[in-house]
Amino acid sequence: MDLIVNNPFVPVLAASLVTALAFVAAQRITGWSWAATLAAPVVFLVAYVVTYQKIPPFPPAGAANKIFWIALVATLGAMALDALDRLPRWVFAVLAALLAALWIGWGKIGDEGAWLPLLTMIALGGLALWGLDRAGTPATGGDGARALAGLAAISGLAAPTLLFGGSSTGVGLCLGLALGAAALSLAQVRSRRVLGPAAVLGAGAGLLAALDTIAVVTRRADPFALALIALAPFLGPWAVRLLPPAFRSRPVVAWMVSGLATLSPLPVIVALLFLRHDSPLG
Amino acid sequence: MRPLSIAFASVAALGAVSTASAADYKIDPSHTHVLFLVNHLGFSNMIGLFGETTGTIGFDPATPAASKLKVDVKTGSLQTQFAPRDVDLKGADWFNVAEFPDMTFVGKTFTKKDDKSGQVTGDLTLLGVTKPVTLDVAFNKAGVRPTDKADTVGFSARGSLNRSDFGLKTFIPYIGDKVDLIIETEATR
Repeated sequence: MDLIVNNPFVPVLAASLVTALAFVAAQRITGWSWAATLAAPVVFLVAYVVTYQKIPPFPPAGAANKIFWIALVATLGAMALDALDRLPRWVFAVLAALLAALWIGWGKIGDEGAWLPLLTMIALGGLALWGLDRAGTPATGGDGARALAGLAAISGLAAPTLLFGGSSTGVGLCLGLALGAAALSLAQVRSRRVLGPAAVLGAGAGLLAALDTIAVVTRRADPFALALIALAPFLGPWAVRLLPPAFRSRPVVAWMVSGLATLSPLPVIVALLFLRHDSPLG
Repeated sequence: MRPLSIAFASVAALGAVSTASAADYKIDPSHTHVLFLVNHLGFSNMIGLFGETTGTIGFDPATPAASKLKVDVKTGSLQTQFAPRDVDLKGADWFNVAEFPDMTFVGKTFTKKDDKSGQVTGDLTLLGVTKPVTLDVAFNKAGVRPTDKADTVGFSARGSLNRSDFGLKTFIPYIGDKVDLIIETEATR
């Protein structure tokens, strides 16, 4: 009990984990594939509500309030576009990055020098979301478990970037999503299920929106950290390809290698942040 | 900030400034301090200061209810004596100074309690949300300030608000919801 009372991150971690486990149970009991696809976006939304302690008003005023709605709109949009089956999945990623950066940065577009961080975040965000989603498709030999592991890893990479960028609140959001996505990923390792684009793009767009608040609005994001985050999703499939065929064919081994490879830039990002910025820890 | 202006207005309402007639005073930013205290994990109350406050107050001791008060506080002037925390508090999750650089207070009602104190209730706008806030105001002194010969009034104001009313709910209850305000101000004409 003392842990909960004294640590503000415990509630969001607990809520995210419980939400993830509830979706795992629902999917296993009912067999509904949409439950697996929607699990990660719902975990993100729950993490947001617990972290910020509100469902923000709509239309949202202020960047932090927009994060929730961007995740929701990206999730619903990805589901709709997927149902239409007219567009390649990379287009979803670019559209989600575009939505996040433009909506978050809308009030700053007229400011001097606003376009550079905006365009950078659209490019890096689109790259990251495409890489995350691609890691979960048969094109890379991946599946939903690997995509969700990548999402959990990216959340882990975003946490220190947000902390050093002046958003300690975003750390809770990232940790909640990381734990929830990791649990969802673990539950799917052996199923080799391929998820709809909403799974990664919905939650990923929300995470990207949080990064946009420090990149586009307050402009305190470290560009090198952002670049590493954008490239990290490609490390998973690449690392799996390097495995000997005997290991590559084992889902658990490939899943672990993919997730750890995506997380591998973490020490570099943390070192960069400490070297280039004042410590937010005092 | 606005609380200061409110204080001025309340003073006017009290009719305590015998030398004053209907006139506008300008808040003196160099002698105006808007502080807030918020509980930190139950261990202490963290203190923050907004260092840049401007505004005007118009009052007539004969008709205190007609007093006027407008205060503007630059949220970017926030300081808490710990730079990383200042960065965090100015960020999008808290005061969001990039998108909401101003916090304003407009006095609505001015109530006299006695010759030296009263209450000012007005609309505080923070993060795009406007809510009523009431301040207890003490009138300290009116007269000519010896340093610059300016006709000056000075007030102290105290009050509190719930930050959740303005959508600022992050880390409640670890960081307290109730925010106590301490305002000290001088205004000149």
